Amino acid sequence: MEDIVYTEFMQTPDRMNMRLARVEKGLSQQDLAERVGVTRQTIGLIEKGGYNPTLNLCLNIARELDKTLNDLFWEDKNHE
Amino acid sequence: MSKAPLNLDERNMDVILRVSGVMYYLTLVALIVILSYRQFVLDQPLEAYQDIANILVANVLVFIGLILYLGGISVPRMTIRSVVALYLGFVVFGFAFTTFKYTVLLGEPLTLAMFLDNLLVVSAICGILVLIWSLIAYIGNRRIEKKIGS
Repeated sequence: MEDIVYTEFMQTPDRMNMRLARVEKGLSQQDLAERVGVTRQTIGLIEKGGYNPTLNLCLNIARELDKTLNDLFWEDKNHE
Repeated sequence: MSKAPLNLDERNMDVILRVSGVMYYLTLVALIVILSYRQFVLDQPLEAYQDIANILVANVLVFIGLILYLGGISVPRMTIRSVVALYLGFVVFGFAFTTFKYTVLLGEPLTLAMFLDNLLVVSAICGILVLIWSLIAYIGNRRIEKKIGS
């Protein structure tokens, strides 16, 4: 099996899912941040893999993006 | 969605708490260094640093008490044996420390009277501390178990 090479933008596939889901919804980081009650930097860091959110925040984000926790945060080790 | 005062979110709070923890630790170390310097290098009388010593003692006692009560240290099963072992550990460490302090650092001769005095004081203080902390840990544990049960 070939290793997937991630670009800088795609450093963690699960957080990438969150970014894609947000863009799909037509929300900016600021919009999502306001909806879930955090700062824009927090959303940015979550998407970059620089901050591990609490379960409550994960649930709020998933609700706002109409996704499940699995869709946004599940880490598939095989990345197939 | 409601936010904490100053618009702090969970990440901001996380950063503040981490920095506070490190700064608290550094402050304690600085106070201990100052206290030791005054006591052993400058040979100042107790009155000169009593305030710092009081703050340090109160701080550490409350700190450990709160950690035990809020479950910062998991105390899965408290038995008489484990409490007695803890007590003996404290007594041995406390006695060794005070003996070292008086004989080596302060240069006082080691006499039988001093030996017994130290042992009595250390045993009494350690007994009170272990008793209070064990009680706090027990109450804290019960509080958490009650929360889980409800």
